[in-house]
Amino acid sequence: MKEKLEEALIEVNYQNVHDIFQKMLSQNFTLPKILGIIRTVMESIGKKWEQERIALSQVYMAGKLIEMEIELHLKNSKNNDTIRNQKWNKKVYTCVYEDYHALGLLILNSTLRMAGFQVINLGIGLTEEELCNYVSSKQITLLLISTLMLASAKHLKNTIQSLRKINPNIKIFVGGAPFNLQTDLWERIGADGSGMSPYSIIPILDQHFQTIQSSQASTSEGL
Amino acid sequence: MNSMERIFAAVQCHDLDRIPFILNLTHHGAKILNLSIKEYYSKSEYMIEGQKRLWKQYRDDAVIGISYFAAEFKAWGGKIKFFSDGPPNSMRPILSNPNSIISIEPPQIDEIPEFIETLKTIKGLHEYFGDSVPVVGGILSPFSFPIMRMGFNKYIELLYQDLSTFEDLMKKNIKYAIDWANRQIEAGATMIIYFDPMSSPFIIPKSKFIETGYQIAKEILPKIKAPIVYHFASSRCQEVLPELLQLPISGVGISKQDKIKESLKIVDKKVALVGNLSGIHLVHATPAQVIKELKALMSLISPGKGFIVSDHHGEIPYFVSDEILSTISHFFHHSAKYPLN
Repeated sequence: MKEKLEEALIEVNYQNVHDIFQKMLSQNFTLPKILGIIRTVMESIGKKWEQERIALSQVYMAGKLIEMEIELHLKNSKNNDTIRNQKWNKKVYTCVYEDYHALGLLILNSTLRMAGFQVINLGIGLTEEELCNYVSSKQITLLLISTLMLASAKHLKNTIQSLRKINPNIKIFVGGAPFNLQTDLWERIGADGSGMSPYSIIPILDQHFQTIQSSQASTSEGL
Repeated sequence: MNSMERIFAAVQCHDLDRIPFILNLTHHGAKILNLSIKEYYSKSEYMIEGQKRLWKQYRDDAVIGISYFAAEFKAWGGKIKFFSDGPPNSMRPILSNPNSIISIEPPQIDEIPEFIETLKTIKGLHEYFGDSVPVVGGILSPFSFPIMRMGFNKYIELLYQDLSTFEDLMKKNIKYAIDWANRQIEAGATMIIYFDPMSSPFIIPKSKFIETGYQIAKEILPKIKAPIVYHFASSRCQEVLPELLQLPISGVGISKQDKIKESLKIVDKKVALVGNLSGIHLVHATPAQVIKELKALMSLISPGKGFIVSDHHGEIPYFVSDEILSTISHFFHHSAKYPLN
């Protein structure tokens, strides 16, 4: 099933993807099992992209097709509550800084949602002032920022300093073409990390939330 | 050899005196004239003077006649944003509905101030440099232009969902692109860079390229009346080089991600390769690191026929310093002469 779904997604074959979902449902696959298959398949697709075996358009369309099927088959069923309640304690804010090209953000958001994170999309073309307002008003502690242009990536240095003045504990991860082309750029601008692809950021975020959980558990024990 | 002779010898894979290099300096003209980037691009007089001074300072093998691609987006009704230290960028896509985009008529070149200034710049540079230095023109491929106009995601969806609408969209884009390229050539552009990042295997699979972007290129490129360099704006292209060899082009802009030796083997002196310095690396590199990188590049392209060293994106970042640009220039004028050691 996993191999067939992956193949259909990479071929962007709507009908085959749809048929595979129908088959899973007709065979009474549980929701956790379906979501597990989706996560495994999407991780595999992400790895293939990192290895340059498939193209960005295929990655985007794979996420798009999966989300369409989830919308179609699962959201209006009894599974809806399960989806809604899934790991929603993992809240992640995302945005595009200064630029208006949203593809990277859309792939990131889709990938994170499928990995069980609650994604709050702050939008595209955000300025330093807008980001500072968001971090302040929404008490953001984890922010993922995407950029396309080198100039925007460099401008982020000052913006990150401003954001840390508002919340010294905020974790900021950055991504996009400039960071892929120069792999130490995220350090130069003072971010907490970067990922070559949306998939590579997931273990970093998992680690982040595990650290928070451990810290909260220690505090509880202390009390 | 002058730069014109050197570049033409390179694209014909003939013998030449040294490895040619093109720095792709655009908004550095603003820096050298102490103007804002917005002001610099507002008048052809500034762009002509900027290019002249840059050429006198670095003596690379071409001057750049074009300004910025977001101007095309503006010409079609979009809004753009200027930065103090980078190229102007397109803002939100104009329309997400492809049918609405099809109903929009292409801009009239003579009615767009940015295009008029570009044509005057090309003309002025051609008059000044004559047949000694190539003047580079360029267009955004009609296949790649909808990325700006529709947004990347909506355009990808169109390519997979509705090829009929895609073909309608291309018809108008194609005519406009051919006109724009030939107007630049009439003004004095020596060559046209055909920027087509959407066709990179990084963005779409090769099979989709052959079905779409390749067909567009096959229709357009024979109608452009000057040598053409097919450029992927820093995205990789090695996988589609065999297909590109079937097109009427003189060169291909390769990416830092492409492997030079393998790429040279594939093109087999049928076209020149142009590349593949990473401008972003140059921003933080020291002169010693740059020289090391250039020496490594020389060893890969040796004996060197059919290769023009250039930035792989088509525009060197504003942040790259005079020290680094001077280092590159000095290297090519002193250490890239034939025979290569």
